[in-house]
Amino acid sequence: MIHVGLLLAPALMAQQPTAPAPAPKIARIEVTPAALTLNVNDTATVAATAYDSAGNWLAVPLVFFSFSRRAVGVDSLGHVKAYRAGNQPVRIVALNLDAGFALRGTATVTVKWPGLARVEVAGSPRMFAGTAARSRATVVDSAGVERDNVPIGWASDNPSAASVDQSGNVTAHHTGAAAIRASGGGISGRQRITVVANPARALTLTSSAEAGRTGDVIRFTAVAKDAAGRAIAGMPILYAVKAVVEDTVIAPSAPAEIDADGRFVAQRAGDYTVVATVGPLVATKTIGIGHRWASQRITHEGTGQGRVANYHTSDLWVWSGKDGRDYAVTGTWGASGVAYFWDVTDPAVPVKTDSIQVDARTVNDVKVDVDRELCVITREGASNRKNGFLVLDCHDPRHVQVLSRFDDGLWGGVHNVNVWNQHVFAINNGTRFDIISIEDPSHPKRVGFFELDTPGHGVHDVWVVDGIAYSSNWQDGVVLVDVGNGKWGGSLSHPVKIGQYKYPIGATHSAFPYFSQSAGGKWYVFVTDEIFPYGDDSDDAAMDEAAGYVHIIDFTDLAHPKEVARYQVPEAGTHNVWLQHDTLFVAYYNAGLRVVDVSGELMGNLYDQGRELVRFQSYDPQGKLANAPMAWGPQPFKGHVFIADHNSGLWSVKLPERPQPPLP
Amino acid sequence: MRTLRVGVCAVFVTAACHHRQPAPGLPVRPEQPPPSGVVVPPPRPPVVVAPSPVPATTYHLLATAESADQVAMIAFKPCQPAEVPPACGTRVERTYDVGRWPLEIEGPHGVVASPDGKSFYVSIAHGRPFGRLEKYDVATGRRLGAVELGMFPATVDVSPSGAFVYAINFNFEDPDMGPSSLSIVEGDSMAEIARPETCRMPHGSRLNPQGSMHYSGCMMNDLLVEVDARTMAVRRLFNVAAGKEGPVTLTGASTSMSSVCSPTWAQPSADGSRVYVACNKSGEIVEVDVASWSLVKRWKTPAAPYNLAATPDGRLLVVTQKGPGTVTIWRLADDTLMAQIPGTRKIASGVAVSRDSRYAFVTLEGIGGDPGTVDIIDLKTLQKVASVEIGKQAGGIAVMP
Repeated sequence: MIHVGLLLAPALMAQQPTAPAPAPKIARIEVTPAALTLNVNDTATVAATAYDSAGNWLAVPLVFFSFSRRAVGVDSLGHVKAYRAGNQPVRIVALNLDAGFALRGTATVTVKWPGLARVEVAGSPRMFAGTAARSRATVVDSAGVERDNVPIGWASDNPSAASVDQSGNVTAHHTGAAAIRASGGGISGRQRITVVANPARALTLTSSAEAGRTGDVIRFTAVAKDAAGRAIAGMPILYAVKAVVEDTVIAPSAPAEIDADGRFVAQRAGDYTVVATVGPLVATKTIGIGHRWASQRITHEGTGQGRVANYHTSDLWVWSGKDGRDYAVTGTWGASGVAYFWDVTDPAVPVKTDSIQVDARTVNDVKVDVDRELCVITREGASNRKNGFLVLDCHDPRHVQVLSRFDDGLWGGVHNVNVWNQHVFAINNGTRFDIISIEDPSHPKRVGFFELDTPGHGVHDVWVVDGIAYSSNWQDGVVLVDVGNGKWGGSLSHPVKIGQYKYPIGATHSAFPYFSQSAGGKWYVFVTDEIFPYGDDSDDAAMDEAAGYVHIIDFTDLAHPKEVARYQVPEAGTHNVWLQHDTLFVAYYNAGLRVVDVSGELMGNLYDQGRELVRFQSYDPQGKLANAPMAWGPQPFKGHVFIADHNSGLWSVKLPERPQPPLP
Repeated sequence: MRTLRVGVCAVFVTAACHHRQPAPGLPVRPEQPPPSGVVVPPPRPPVVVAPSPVPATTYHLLATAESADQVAMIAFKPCQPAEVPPACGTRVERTYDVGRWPLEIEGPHGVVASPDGKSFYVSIAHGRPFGRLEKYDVATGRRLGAVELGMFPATVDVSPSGAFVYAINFNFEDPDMGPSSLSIVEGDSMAEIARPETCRMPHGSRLNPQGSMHYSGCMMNDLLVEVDARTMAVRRLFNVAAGKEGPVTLTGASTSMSSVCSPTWAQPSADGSRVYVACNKSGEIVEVDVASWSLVKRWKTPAAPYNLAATPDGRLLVVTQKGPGTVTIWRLADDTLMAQIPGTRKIASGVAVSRDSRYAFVTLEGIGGDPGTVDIIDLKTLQKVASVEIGKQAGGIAVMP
């Protein structure tokens, strides 16, 4: 839409420009009317006129535009249309290009909220006496928009049967009927509720375990039974928990939680009594919760480091070579296009074996096709701006050779790659992932790609396991794509989207799947944020402050994924993760490496539950940035975990024995 | 508050602050030969001029470092006869960190100062996925505003009044090379007020001196696009491919796909009557008459031209040649190649000219770990007189008012 007014400017409207004439001296611009009040979808017209200092009208072109085009539009003739109501008025501005912004006329448009059309009340239409349930009210205006700015009041026309509080909680008292009314903005809606006799005569409460440790998810099941001892379906159960934590715990925060389905998890050791209620019936059950274990802080003693102090380090990959030795490759960031190769057979003493320099500033990602001893490294900041990736022969990491460069259609830079089934999955221009065959590693060939169709979609990373690509798509969350699993009809040349989960933060940065046998076969996906809440507010001499956490999403019901747990270290930010043997490895940027027990079912914030096994701060006084851990990526390998640290290079940490404390 | 960094040079110098060896093993692109069959006139013999007084002024310019997410403020004080560095020469006065995510290279590309010199605008090429235009306070380095634009906002220019900022959405990296656009931003509010679609892979955009028309080249359309600043719509198109020169209907911008010329820059002349287009692929400069919207002439360049700048006095056109990292200087009156000057390092990129037409300021991107470099060329003696290093991949450059 072009927002321009041409007011009698014949010279400018001619097909050919004329020699520039001295611009008339504009003293003021008036827009009339100066204020408008419109309803949504209303139209109006504003006129703009320029005057010189003597008050003479000037025939000069004036530009109209709206400061909020989604709320109010204006076209070249000053036709205004209101699209969206708001609390703040919108300015329509007219100005002359030559006079500049200091001289402008303004009309203020206020778009009124549409009239309210209805209040919809949703709750349980049939309740047992003595039970409670929450009702919800939705106010919809005449434009069909759900309004969240209308205060709601609640009332019951028969409180003796069912009463309601001002939060919409309905309590059924006696058999009968009641209309639950929600009112707001001068209109109301209601729902009729029938209260039936409560047949419950007994309530039992059982748990999936008699004792546990912090972080264990224990399921409580309350069953209401009638006089004949039969379970009553649909009986709402209210769960609550009472805690008696250890004496050593002073002023604890909430020591445990239980959800509406009876899933319980504790953060502190102690005795917990779960209370289930149905009307007048109450059942309780007490369990003991013991300590899980104390996190072990690993010191630098005994760790290995391959220092990279001249450049920032990016990602890593560790693998076993066919010569029986172990190797690693690391990339560099904002540097000179260098990737380093290491012999890590002795993890305590990583030895640099070779390096390769390509036309790039950043080698952000490195991956290895271990079976074929091929390395794939990405390019960003190539001098010819064509970027892409390279395939390297890594069978001898002392003499790495370039087999091929692939930049066809990958000019925007390949930020991340993954390798699966002799194919490279390359993030292309931050908008899609391309699938490129390296079956002939000297002649890569594109075979397919996958891209979302949402407005403004972006993608940051992709990880492929068992023919399913887990792509991390910022505001679009994590997207699961069948790229060869076949169960959903997808293939390398015909990827098929099979699932998606997004959350409001919109910072989905990386994802790693984990099929948890210890949780009964749950399909978890661990998703990390990348957030810098303070932006780029530091210089080379200071550490960047990151934020965000690991989101743990249960995809077992693929159509209804649910975020069930998190791992959140305060005042730090996540980057990349790895999962193996019920263990989560997190490169937690400024919080260093964290190793977390993720065995069993997961719920709540794992950080609070004593599930953290190991923490290691990868700082180096001689690093690129001294004494500033910035863990980038982890990879467990043969009893160690290797870390790429942005400020100090490659690290290896020997994992301690996993503690197994007895149950209380 | 964003931290201001002291630049790499603490004092004025007349050459690069410190020299770094080229990184070993770097593949270096061969210098592009002229297109076959092209006869390129040799540069005129060096101009022998009597020692001329240099302006007793200090020039300030802004240059982006695309792979460092920085903008450098550079001061250049020509050395008077009795002066020696560090009392004169060049220095990086300060470095502004730009962008939003410290661990992503966001790629500041184009830069321009507001006419009052109090602020500057910089295009940020990469986002999630869209790029942005950001506005910074010159004195404090504080970010004053930002607005999300299209894919890979590249060159930026500002209207003479300072009211509007024009950022071309290069969309260089779109695998499909779809049609892109020009974003017009109201600088006070940092609100994007119009985004006319222009063509495929538009780049190298500049306003005419009057601020009434905006020109850009389309690398994948072989088009010169004229946007009327008053209507904020595409007004005319011109095919710059050899043998096909002439007006094109407005529908041609989104339908055609051609890159014989592959224009990377469109530079209006000092009076706005002509537009010079850099044909990067065919190694030519195309001169278009604005009034008649017709070809005036085209001439060959020694290597692929990339960015252009015209001197305000109307005499010269300064051309960066990306491949060999050189600058050519052309006398516009008769298309005479006055000089071809090697750059301090590879990949010559942006160019700007001082308002007194005396100096050209040229960015050189370098390769890999090279620092970016700004070369300063005396347009009277046609010699490089100073050089200074900034962050990696020096790109956009602008002269402070």
